[in-house]
Amino acid sequence: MSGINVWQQLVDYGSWSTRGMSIVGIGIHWGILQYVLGLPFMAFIAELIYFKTKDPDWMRIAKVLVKGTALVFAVGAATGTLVEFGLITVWPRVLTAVGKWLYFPMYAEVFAFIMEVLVIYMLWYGWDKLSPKARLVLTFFAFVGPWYSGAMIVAANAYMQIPTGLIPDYNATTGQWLYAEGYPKLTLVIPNSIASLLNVTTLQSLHVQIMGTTSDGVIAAVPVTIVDRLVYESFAGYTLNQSILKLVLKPSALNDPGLAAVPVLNVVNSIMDSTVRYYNIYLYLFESPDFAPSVMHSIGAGLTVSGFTAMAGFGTRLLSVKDKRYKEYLLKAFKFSVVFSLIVIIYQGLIAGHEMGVAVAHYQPEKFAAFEGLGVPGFTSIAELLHTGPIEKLLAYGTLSAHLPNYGYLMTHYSGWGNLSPTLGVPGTSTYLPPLIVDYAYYAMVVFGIALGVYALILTGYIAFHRADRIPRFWLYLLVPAAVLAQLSSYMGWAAREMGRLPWVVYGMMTLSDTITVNVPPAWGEALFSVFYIVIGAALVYAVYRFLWVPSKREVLDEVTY
Amino acid sequence: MMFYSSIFWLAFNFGIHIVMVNLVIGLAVLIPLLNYLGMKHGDQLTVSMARRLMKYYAATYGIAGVFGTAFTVFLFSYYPFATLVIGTVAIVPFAIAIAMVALNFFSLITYWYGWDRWSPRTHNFIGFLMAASALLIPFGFRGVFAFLNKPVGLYFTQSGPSLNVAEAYSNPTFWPLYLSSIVGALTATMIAIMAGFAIAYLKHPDNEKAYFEAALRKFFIPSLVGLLLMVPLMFAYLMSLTGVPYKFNNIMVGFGVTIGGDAAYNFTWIFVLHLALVALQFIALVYIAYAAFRGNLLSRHVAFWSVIGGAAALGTIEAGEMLNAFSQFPRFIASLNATQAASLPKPWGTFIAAYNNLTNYNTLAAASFGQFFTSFMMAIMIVVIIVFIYVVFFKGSSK
Repeated sequence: MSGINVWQQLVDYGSWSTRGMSIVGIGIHWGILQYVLGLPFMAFIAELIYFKTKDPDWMRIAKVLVKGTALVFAVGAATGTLVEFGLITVWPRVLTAVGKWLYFPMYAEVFAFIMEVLVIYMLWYGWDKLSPKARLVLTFFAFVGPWYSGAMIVAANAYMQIPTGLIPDYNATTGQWLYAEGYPKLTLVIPNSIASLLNVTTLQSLHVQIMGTTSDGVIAAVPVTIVDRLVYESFAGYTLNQSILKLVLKPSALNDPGLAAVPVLNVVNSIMDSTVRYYNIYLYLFESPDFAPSVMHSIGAGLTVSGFTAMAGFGTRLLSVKDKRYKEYLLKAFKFSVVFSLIVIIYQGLIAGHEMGVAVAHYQPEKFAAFEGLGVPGFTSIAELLHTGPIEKLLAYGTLSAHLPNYGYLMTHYSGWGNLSPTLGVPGTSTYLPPLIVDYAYYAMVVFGIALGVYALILTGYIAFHRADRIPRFWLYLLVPAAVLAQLSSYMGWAAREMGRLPWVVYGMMTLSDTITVNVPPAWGEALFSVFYIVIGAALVYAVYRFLWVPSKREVLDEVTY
Repeated sequence: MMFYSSIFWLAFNFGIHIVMVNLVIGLAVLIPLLNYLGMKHGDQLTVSMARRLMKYYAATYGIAGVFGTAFTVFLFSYYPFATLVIGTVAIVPFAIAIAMVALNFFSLITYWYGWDRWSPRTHNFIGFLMAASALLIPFGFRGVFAFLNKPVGLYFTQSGPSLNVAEAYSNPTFWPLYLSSIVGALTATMIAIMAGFAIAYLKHPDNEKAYFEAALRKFFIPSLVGLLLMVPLMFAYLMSLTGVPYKFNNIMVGFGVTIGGDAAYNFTWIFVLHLALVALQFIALVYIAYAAFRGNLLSRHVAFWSVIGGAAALGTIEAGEMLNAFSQFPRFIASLNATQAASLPKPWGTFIAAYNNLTNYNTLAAASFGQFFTSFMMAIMIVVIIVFIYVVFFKGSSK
């Protein structure tokens, strides 16, 4: 069998120029966010050390980190606004779904954003006007704000990865895929007013399972192929008499002309409203199994990238420092960032990353199969190359006797996703698989992470033996590549997460084609915007260089008042 | 008119946002201009004035951005399907605005942090970019507003609605709205700058005397001209709304003027308030002119009237925007009634008919705890903003 073209497989999802623009725009925003999540936390720890030691160098370290936060936050806020408007204009249906059902975290995020803007700028502009204690309090909120903000955004994204109430379609103990039984299914609450119109026998023949009742509705596990179809019909303006729903309506309902003209959108809205209420409208999103690990992992990424970047910033200055006093300060900052980086990369790999992987393995087995890329003729799977199967089984399912989901099997049987819809006589769900390129992105993230961990361990070793000022230059020359690698590792993780859920934008509920605007901009326009984003990214790098790095070349310690 | 929290929060966020945005536009134009003129004439006071204003600009931009974002989030959480319609149709005006917001932001950062670090030529060029982008932000957003007055340029293809951009910008309500926005922003900012230096003068008469006097000398005549221009522009916009009788009637009914039917609501009182605030600005400027004529320009009375003028200028913007927004209540697209909206091609006709109505909001987002949470958090944020303004603008250094 000829080899699979992983790039072609990714391109085949369509809407390439719009996706490209979003990848560039959100990617740059993601890169900037890492520092907003990490730098103020580092500054907070530096200030705590200042309170413990009363050594003014720690307050200077904190000030530099806060200056970096203020700079990148400004650009991050601007790119965030671009991303927000980008969603409104090119992916408007996602935002509509988000606004209708997932509104609360977005709503709460507004306040987080306000906290970020006001606190970070109050801290920076008011640095010399505030007492050290006031700075400490503000710095605390300067990292809590971005973490809170990140958690709220991630809540929406986590729901899109694994919707609350999702029942997965893979049994790792037996290695069986449950497509034939209609899985994956989504737990929905169908209001009694709608349920009373439906033919239960027909529903059961379509693998809809009745799970129980509430005071005003029926709890049902519904195959996601049906949910996806109804969401599509909602946005395409179908009415009941045009919908697949007519196949499950009781004859009396079917013959009611008033009912026949009801938009499917109204039905779906009503079902989603009662489902959200059933779970609790404020907690609905947070109950996604993806939420907690995603928050832990995202913050971990921010801390890791920030740690390695600060390490590179302080460490490379050590290479050419002449002033003795300035060197003392730099050494403290460097040692701090090295130890910080080691701690956070251990947390990121062994705790947050592990929890994330477990959530993916259990609830998004197709994505997990793409990560591992097993059993694909003509494709070089990293897992097969490195024989990591047993480790993956143990890490993901806790036992060596588990079965890893096999991508090769999916290639043959994945069309089972669409099986239900042809039964109803309507077009089925897309049978595209998550693209295999995520295998490379995922393993790039893992390998980069391990390399960074080893590097941080070596530098920490030098520090532990009080030889921080005698680290061979070879290791210091690697500081900048390590910072770039940390950013790249984070980017690969994000890419694997987002590309791995294709063809879904909301897993099991909305495919990519359901979400894109009907007014797709011309490719040249999207390319222009992409270039614009890239210029913004370059401007940030230049601004940091010019206003953070160049002044520090003077080897003068900033004045800090106490 | 019933109280709808969804509309209250939109109006609240939008109101703060729009006042700040007007200052952003004005400062983005005036700061580089002051700096350029100061450098050209070797006038250090003017350069220093520009530099002081830059700090206000950055802080104003931050607050404007916060409330703009809050407005957008509230908009799509309360009215997700209306956002879908507007986002789908007005993609080009939004794209213009987005690009200009970003350009303005980056020129702000580089102009501010690069002061004394760039060559004067480069710095002036960045200042030019800052001014031009600020003037073009409303070119995008006012295009959307004009569409909400009247959906000129809206066509339906097989795939859905699309906007003929050239036609959209020939919307009779666009140019009067855009021009009055720009002139209004510049005028209000000039009066606000005089007010700002007046407050500083009242606090520290000796230190701030020169700045206050310079502000009056530079901005008095241009702001008076701007205010005089605003009157015909304001009425030009009002007259353009004769093409949108629903909105026009809601504004003018209190004067006994309606076109082709009755008004749905009476918002004439906001118009009267708006006019009264314009009049107050005139009175303030006339008093300053009178004092100058009497040779008594630098006095506490002049400073007091400058502050009154500044407050009235910002109040005028707020009242004008509220009038513009509320006069189309409860519609998103003012000129479309339910029957007209429903007659548009499906499914968009169905969407627009259902979600053109501001009273048809997402009830999940307006649930009781959500309202409590919103009010509580907003109260905290307002306190934080007050502390922020105090620390950034008024608190002295601890050095």
